[in-house]
Amino acid sequence: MTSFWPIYKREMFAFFVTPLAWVLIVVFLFTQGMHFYLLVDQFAHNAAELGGDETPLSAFFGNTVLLYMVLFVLVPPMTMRLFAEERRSGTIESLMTAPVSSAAVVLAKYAAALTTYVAMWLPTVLYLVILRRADPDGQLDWRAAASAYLGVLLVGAGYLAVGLCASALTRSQFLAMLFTALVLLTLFILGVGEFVTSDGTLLHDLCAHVSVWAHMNDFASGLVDSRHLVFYGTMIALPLFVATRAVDAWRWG
Amino acid sequence: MTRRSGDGARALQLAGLAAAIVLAGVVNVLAARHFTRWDWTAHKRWSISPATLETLNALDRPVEVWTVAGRGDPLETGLRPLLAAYAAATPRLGVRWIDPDRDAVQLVDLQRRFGLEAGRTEDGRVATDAVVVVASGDRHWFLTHEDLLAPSDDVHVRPREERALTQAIRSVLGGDKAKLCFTVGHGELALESTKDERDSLGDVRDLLEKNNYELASVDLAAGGHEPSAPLAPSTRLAALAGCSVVVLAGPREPFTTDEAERLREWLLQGGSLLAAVGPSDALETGALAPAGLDEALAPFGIALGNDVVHDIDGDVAIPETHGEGFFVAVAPHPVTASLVPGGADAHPPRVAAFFAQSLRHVSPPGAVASADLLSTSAGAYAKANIAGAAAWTGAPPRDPVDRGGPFVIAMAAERPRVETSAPHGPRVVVVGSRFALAEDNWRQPRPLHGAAFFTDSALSWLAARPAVVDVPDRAEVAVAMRLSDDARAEVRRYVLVLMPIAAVLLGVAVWAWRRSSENAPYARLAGSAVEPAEPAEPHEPRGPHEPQGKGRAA
Repeated sequence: MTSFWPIYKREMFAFFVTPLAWVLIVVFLFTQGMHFYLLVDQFAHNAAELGGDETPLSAFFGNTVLLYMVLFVLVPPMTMRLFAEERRSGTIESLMTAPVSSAAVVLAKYAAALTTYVAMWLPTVLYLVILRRADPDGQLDWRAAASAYLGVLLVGAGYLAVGLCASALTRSQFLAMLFTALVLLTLFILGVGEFVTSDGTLLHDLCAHVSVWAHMNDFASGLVDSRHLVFYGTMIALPLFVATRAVDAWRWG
Repeated sequence: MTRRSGDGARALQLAGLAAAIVLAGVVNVLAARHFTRWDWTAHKRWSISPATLETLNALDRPVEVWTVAGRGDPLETGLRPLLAAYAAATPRLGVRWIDPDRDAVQLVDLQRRFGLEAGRTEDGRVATDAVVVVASGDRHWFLTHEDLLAPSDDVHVRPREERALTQAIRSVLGGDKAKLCFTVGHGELALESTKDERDSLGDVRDLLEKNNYELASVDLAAGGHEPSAPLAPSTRLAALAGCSVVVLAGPREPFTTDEAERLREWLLQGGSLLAAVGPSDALETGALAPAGLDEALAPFGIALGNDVVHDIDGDVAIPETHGEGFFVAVAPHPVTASLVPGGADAHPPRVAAFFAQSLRHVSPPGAVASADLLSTSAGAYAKANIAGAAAWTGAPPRDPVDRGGPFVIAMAAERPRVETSAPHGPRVVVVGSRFALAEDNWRQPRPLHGAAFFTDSALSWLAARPAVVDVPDRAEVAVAMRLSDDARAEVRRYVLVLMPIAAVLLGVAVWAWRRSSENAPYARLAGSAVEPAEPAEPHEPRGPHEPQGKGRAA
């Protein structure tokens, strides 16, 4: 795995010197900022009238479709180029003929994408600091915030793994993006099935198990559930395994 | 590699992929069946207490929890994780969620089984009067929104789900419901529907049942209407056997001496009484007839005024009631805790009274001191004689013999415990108006809902059971923010302007740095360790890897 770091650094460098990266980051920050500000505005005006015990933190990370909209927009463009572009342009040949294991290539590219994803979310920690500053008497549960960010990390890690797998399976960036978006959308729709299927049925349990909405509600409330950890663990490991096999397949024919 | 060995390798790869997929599925199925939840919140919001765990582990028969809340319902956020923790603790607890907007058939069945009432909210959602029903066998217990979540102030709420759910489970397993016995035979508001809606409790009956009271009618003069009730040691009090609270719901005719004596005996043996007794009918002289309850109320230091109170003070008088309807002042007491300004509720609803008589303190030997609960303004006056009332066109004239206010129109008293094991001593709440139990009080908007809250609270105090003290109180949760306009503007400036601009500037800086070092040997940074043994020919534009390509070109 000594080759992991050079590939990782190259991927990081390659991403951050492209204008696309900064456009994505700015759009991401603006969208999340708007989402956050609207919630703050709502909680400052009439949250008590809603009659529940939802906090600004749990509302920001859970019970909102905005989080997934951002991920749908963000993840496919971030991952589509990882293998597909290199295969299309032929630059992958230099990598594949080097004494590097396929697993190292896949993991390094994945780690770079994940680091980029984390770097995009990192500034949003400032939101909590800003909130604390604006309302010093308000409650802010940093432990629940840590749980919410763990959820964001796991959801993103799972989605990125799917995106990387899609990129490894095709030469076309567009197809990779389309395939990723379709898989993520299917997962989301399956999750929505939790709301439309009857409680207690197998289908309902299946939908609830894959429901990113339900997962994020738990994480945002400060609940870490072993089922969610296992689900995202497999959602990360399985696509990475498939991607490694795919890389092996082109490599060795 | 031969074709056969190539096919074999491909088959092996496919088998490996299939095995990985199957393995992932199996791991998820196992994880779904055996799971753990960790509560990371600072105050352990989602952890259930040892007392609740003990209750759940001791379940000897199935208990069902029906929750009527759709996705997006504000209560669902708190209930779902907590009920998941309950269900994880015991296989005997079944949790069923019914979305009232979606599961119409299930909702109708639940309404049929438990008598739930459903209606539509202003925003079109279906809502029910009880949001949780805990059932085991033929016993059931209702929980309302207020049982689960109590507002502390305009920003905080205190979650009470665990205490309410655990109490409900314990109640359906063994505890009896508090029984409210409504007297009959004196023109009281009837439990059952009557021809004239004004003569029955109407929807109040349903509301009381949702508050987990068992309701019954009793005839103090006879043997009672509950043949199944166990006989009391004294047959004189047989009608009141099993009653937690006797309710006098606006009698119009006086009680006999024998009835009052029975009531007094029962009270002194540990019973409790809610008396909503307004002015009785007038005698031929125009004087108001006594209600015949002096004997029963005297040990509690309370006597009825036998008059009609009018309050025409502009600040409290209710228009078009000729002084018979007015708002009253509330004195601090456990019964009025949610109604006292500056108390538990920052903006408590007002309490209105209609056609009320005054109450007074008395102190016969052995009586306890009573506490004032509701009182009129100093400008009120009480007419003990209403002769000629038919000719009154507005507020009646105040005669020199009419007493002046302020008058107390509701009192409470508690005697010492009869038995040391009793949760409290005999308690009495007396309201000088029969309208305390009128269903109109429950239909008022919240600012005017005080009379309904008062009656609910009085019944709760009178029927009080030992509190579930082994389930600890939850920490308050902030569900809103106190932000000034300046603070909001600052938040907006930071998150919508400064942070995106910072990202733009950083991007420009990286772009400028890249431009300035375009000819630098990127290859060193861009992966020399993975350089192929035979460097590949540069290809056409490399997209994201362009710097590497340019570096090589250089």
